[in-house]
Amino acid sequence: MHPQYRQAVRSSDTVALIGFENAFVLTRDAWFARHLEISRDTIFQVTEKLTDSVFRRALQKHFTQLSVFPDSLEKTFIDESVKLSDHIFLKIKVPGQGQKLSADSLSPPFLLIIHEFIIGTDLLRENYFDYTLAQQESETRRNPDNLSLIMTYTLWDNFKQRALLSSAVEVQLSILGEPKLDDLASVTVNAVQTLLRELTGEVAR
Amino acid sequence: MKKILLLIFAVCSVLQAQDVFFKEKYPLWKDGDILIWTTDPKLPLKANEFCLSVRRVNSDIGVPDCRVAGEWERDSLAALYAGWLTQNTEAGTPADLLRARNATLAEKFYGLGDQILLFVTERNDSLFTLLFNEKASVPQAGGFIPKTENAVANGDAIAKQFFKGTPQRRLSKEERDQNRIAPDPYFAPVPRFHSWFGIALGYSQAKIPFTPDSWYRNKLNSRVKNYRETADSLSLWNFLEDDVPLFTFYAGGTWFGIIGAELFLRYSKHDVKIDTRDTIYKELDHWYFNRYEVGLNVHVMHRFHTTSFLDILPYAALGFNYSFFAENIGRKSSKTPASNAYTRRIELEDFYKGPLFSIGSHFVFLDHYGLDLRAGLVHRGDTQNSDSSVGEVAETTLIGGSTFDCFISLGLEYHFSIQ
Repeated sequence: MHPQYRQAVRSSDTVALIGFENAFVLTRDAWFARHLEISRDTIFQVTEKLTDSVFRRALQKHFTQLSVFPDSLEKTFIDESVKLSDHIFLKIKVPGQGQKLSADSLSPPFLLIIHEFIIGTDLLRENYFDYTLAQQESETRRNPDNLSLIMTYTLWDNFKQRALLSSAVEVQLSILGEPKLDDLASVTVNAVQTLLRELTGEVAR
Repeated sequence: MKKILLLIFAVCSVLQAQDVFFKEKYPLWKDGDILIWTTDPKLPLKANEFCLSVRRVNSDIGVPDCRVAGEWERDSLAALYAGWLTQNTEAGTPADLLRARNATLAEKFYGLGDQILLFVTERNDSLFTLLFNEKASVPQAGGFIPKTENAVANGDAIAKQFFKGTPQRRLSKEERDQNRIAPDPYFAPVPRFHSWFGIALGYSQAKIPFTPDSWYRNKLNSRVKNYRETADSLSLWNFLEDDVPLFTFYAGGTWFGIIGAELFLRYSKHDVKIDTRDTIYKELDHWYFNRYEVGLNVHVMHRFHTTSFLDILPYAALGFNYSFFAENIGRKSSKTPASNAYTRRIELEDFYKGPLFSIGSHFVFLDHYGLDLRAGLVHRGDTQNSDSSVGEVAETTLIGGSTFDCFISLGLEYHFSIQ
């Protein structure tokens, strides 16, 4: 978190969402295809479309002035690594210094940049971002307990071009019986709620 | 009282207002180049006046050259970064958050050479200054001063924040190129052979520190009566004064920075401890022994390169030495013949030999000039049988058969090829 991030982003602020499509990853697509009874050829498109719209709507409920920027703007971004703790690092892509990002003659004060958005089963965020625990996953063939969503994001001050807050969110939703598309929607909503809690809560502390 | 309080308050407020919020170590070059970089249309700081300020603050800095960093102001990437800095520089911001993230721009910083780049911007009636050099795309120092309209006063305040310290001679292009490819001093190759010679002044005594006095009491209190009588003769310190100055000349060398040898010659002078109550010594003018020693130490050492000018080389050595005692005796000029006891006085052996152990450290300044501090423990003995005539049983000589002493010494030395 940037030391100058003292005033939390308000729901009336204009926030632009960027990077969702690039970030979206569905792991175990064959498993999802079988259980959701969707062809494996289209499972990715279907789930992406669903989570994208759910994600957007859930955010829009809080940020009424939400706009969505095309992911093609990310091409000009610069890779950075962010240290969250002694052994947790995120790789993020954020805009360069000195220029406000704008699209359609709109340059909002805040950007919400999604770097990774991973949906799977029984995923742990530590296995992705904690380098002391990375590469310890092993394939286990068993019935999954949880539907998992791991998301990393950065709140970007577009006027001063600095990263205000970066974080990795992990949401688990227990699936009893067969997973349904509604479960995907609700895990996404849970992720948005966690994100909003972090955006406002961490500053208040 | 009120005035003093007011003065303290004023000093405190000035200290608080003029603040350096981070500062790395950076070199100041004599006759260096200082570039002043800003995006402000009207900056209350003048390049030529600033040079005079720097010279006022630091009289050793020579004649620096201060210019406006026009090339940086025209560069579009640098201009974007400068605009960003103008917005983001705040008191207390850590240096890392002010990093230039663009890779091309970072290259530009590394190409600064030995120039110092000062980014200055005005904000909320303060002048913020960030100092950059070729080391990184992160500012090396940052600070702010309360702005005044007086360009000279502003320059003085900024120079005080960033240009104090001892300047270094500016390197030529060849030297800089050489420095760039020179190995880090900590990874410098160890020389095959490193040698030295030196002279040392020391002090020697029989009593070894931290051992009980009772071990030595009999020896040290012993006196020579009638030219040869003592209670015991196993140690030479029954006959001779033990606490004397010691002079050493030595030369040695170390192979591959770890193992080596050292030859030494030592001299000390030992008076005979005569019992002055004995009237027979009325005829005696002087009686002492010159001790000459020659020996060889084998040592292991390790070199610690501490600063650019000081190497510390601690070592431990094990060796042997031969001691030769040369008697010097004289009677007062009297006409009476020498007493019987005088002509049949004690006689030390031709030489004594024994091992010695010492630890110490060389402190080498500027690769050549060394100080050596060492302490050691020496044993001298004599296990040789005295010459015996036919029919006589060979008998071990006991005088000085087992003589211990210890020493400390401080040496001045010259080293060759330590690097």
